Amino acid sequence: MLVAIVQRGLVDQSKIRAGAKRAERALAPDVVRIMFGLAEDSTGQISLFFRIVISDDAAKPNRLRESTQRIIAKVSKEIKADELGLESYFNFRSRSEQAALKDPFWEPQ
Amino acid sequence: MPFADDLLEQARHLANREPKRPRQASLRRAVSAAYYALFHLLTTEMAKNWKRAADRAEIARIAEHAKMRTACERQRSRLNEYFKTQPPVDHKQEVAEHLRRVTNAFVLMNEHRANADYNNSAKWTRTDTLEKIESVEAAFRSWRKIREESEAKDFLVTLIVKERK
Repeated sequence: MLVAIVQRGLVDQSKIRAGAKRAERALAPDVVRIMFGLAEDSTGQISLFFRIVISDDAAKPNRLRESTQRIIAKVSKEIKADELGLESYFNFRSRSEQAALKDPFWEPQ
Repeated sequence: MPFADDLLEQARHLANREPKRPRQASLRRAVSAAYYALFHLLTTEMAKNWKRAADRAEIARIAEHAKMRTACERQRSRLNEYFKTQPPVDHKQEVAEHLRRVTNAFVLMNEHRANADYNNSAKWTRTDTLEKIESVEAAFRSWRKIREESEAKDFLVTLIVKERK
């Protein structure tokens, strides 16, 4: 679905996708890929759920907080999260964690 | 050590419990414990403002997760509006930034905790779990910097009272 109807109106997913792509390029090599989906959160509100694969280096304990904060800020800026009026949730995993899990939900769509 | 800090320490312990292949049970309980650490930090702080010490445990039990989340969403929204005005970098702005970090962490962790506790299809990793724990640790640090501020004490009241329009 390209356009989703949410409480505050229509959400053009292609703009979110483009923003996520810009963030992905800007944040390489720390970011391997950024994926997202629209779904209801536990309160029933349509929200954005990001799945972000990061490099093993960016996931190192001494870098994790800084890496993920920078990624969240960049993605939020590129998708104009403020204007969307949607809650954004972020989940992260390292490249080697995904390689071990082979979780299809986290593979390129 | 206060109960909230114990829960946060337990979250880290669970996240690192299996050095090689972490069990989903450990990671999911770690995320849940991190959320509850923040929940108990705020409810305990809220109760501390009640004058009669003997009533504080009961006062803390008034708090409900959904209402606290709504209060945090509302406070965060107010703070976001405030930051849009590009306020001067001063003490007030610093307090607002710390409070925004606390409220944001509560909202997000409330959701991640629901996912960790009830969604059997989601697979957690150590990286993701530690990222959630670190967001709570940052919220703890922020809270401790502002806990004596009137803005912070006002916020605590909103966790249990109905908003007046």
